[in-house]
Amino acid sequence: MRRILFSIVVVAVFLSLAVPVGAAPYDEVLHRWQKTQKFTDRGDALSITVTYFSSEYIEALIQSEADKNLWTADEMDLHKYQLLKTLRLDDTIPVRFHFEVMGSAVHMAPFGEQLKLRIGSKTYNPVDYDPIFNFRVTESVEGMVYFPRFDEKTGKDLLAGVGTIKLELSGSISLTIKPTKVDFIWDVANDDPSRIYTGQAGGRLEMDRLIKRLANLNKEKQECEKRLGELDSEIAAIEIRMKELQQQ
Amino acid sequence: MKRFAALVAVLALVAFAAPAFAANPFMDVPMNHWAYDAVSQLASRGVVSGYPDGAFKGEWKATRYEMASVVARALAYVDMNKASKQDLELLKKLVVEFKDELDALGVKVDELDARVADLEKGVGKWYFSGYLRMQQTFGRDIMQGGVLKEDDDSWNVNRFRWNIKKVIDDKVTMNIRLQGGGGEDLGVELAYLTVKFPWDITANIGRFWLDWEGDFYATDWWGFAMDDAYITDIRPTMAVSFNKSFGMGDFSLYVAHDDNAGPGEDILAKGRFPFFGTDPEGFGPAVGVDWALASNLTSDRYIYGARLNFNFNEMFSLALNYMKYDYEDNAGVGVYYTFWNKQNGWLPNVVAYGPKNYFQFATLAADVETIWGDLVINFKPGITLKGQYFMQDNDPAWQATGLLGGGVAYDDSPSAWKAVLEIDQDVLGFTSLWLEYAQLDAGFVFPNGASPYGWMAGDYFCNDYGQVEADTTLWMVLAMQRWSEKWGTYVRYLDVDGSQDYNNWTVAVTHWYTPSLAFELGYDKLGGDLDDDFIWLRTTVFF
Repeated sequence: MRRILFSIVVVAVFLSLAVPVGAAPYDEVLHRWQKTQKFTDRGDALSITVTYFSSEYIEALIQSEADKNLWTADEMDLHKYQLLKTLRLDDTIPVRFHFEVMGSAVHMAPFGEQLKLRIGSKTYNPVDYDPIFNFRVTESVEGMVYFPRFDEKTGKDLLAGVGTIKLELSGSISLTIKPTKVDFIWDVANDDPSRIYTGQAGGRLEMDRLIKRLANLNKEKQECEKRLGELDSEIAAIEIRMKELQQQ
Repeated sequence: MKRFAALVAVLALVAFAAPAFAANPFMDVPMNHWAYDAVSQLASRGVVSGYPDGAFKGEWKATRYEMASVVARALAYVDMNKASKQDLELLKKLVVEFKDELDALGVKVDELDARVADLEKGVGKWYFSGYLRMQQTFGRDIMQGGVLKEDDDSWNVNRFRWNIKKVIDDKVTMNIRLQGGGGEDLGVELAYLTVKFPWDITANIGRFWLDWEGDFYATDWWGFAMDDAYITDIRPTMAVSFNKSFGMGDFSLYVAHDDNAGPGEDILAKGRFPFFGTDPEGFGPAVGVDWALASNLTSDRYIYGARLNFNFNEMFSLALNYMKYDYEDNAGVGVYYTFWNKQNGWLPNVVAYGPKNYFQFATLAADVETIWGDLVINFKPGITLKGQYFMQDNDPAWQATGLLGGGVAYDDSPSAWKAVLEIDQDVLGFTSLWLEYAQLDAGFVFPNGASPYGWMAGDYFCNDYGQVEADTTLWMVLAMQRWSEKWGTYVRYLDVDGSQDYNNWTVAVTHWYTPSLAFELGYDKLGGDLDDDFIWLRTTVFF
């Protein structure tokens, strides 16, 4: 028994040190942030892959796409800009779901109520998600889900100082899943999203944010000016009336 | 004409009821406005009734109020089963466009928005899904009418499954499954509610599967019980389970009551003696008589379970579990005997028995209590080492099986363990790999009543009631390859050294003709003490 157990551990250690066959340099990083859970039930099958967009993952993803498509530095930067815009990292925690159904069709609606992100002792529901998850899935479907990044009341970064997060998906989405819920866990202690806001793409995104902020400030300014105008005209009207009363 | 009159009536009503703030309530909707097309599209797809295609394509020009009333009616009568995502988007767009007019009509737009949101989310809908599977087996040896038929072919509808789901509201979901085929009558396999309670507690109530060991057994593409849980994966019976999450941990409780075990389902002791002659029951030539001491007639039982799982981080998790099969004190115990006519050493689980003859003489409880731990270590992405260790405390009645049957006294505190190394296909490039080694003490009971290893060749190291007959070691290797979206293959090898020594090779090729239709062709070879080989073909359609 000891010999067999020892053999299993040796094989495991050997494999953990081995480089995967035909693996690109970024594959291991990409795999690390993609968590897959598979379920079967005597004729039904469902596979769920969830990807957490850590800065390490985003960098590896962009680099692997660039290598695959032989992009120039400008093209890579443009891709990074578009990807980061889609991810909305400045105010959300994005994850991508990929469901592969190899059995009876799956109905997950209302999808937003089937999952929550557990950070410390608190849970958070999605602020937005791809409505495609609310429709019948017979084959394969993937889309984004966004959780809040900042505390609604305090404005504090929810991931600051957090070691591990857990995404919980309700088992009631499919009869193929027997547990009450399905967990996807990531260690995010060393993740630093600000790391990816560098280069031209970072600059463009900052410019986008500043334009958005400027538009909001201008809107506020206009509202203030409008209110100021209203107050001015009211003051003028009062002054006129007071003069009238004084003259009587 | 009637529609025109109705519109005039609505118009008149609206005209008098319209509040002062609504700007220009009788403004025409321009003929090229998208709203005409939107309503016509919904009508043509049957999403709303009463507005056939082209209803708004004539000379008639609607005012904004008229159009708003049409939208209100469309929302009231929308056929939820026909509405697609695009249809719902159109409806939402219409609601936004005619919001002021809908307000003026006295229809609360917020409610309509909520209704559209509900439609989109699927609340209140009935969902249907399932599959139909046919199987042909060629060249398998079977017993039929007491006679061994070598190389028999059998064709049958192996299983029909129909799932029904309804999201009652944001806290309650109902699931029902009807299942039949393969000798089973169509019946309700599952029927349960999933309820979200305060304090992050979720409950399942009804007939449902309970499986706490899903990470610890290997299956093919669809889970045809090639390997299964040792203790859980409890067959649906009326039960209640609660799950409470806290930080990186979970605590679960499970209570079930099984009052449907039936006579002779739970064997406490059994034996066999030779009898050469003709079965007096008229079942043909007999070579022996089986007898069994069994919980009988009123074999009600409770099943209690608790589980504490903790994920230390993404690499390491640990769980402690407890499960007790607790027979009620009034569980009847009796004896039955059956004339036995199987061929020596051959397929004990397909023997054609004669009718069971019962005689109840006592009452006795027969509990099976198991404590076990689960360990999962994710070495690196795609490579996982898993282990389980089980300690069992069985009622003496269970361990009497061997004593009375063959003179072997089983330990009433048997243990078992298994270690698994799992490697994803992404790591090795061409195949995934599952390497499993297990050791089981004689007397260890699989409380579900059957061996967890396989529909083809896994049942021979324990008796028909799930008790391991001798100290057993077991190896299994499963390599699965997904070559493309259309093609997959797998190879499995199982080697068992127990009360019978045997092995089983399985090779299979799967083709997904469409995502909804799959064919699987396989070959099985049983070696060692067993000797058989056969081919099987499964055709499954999913819906």
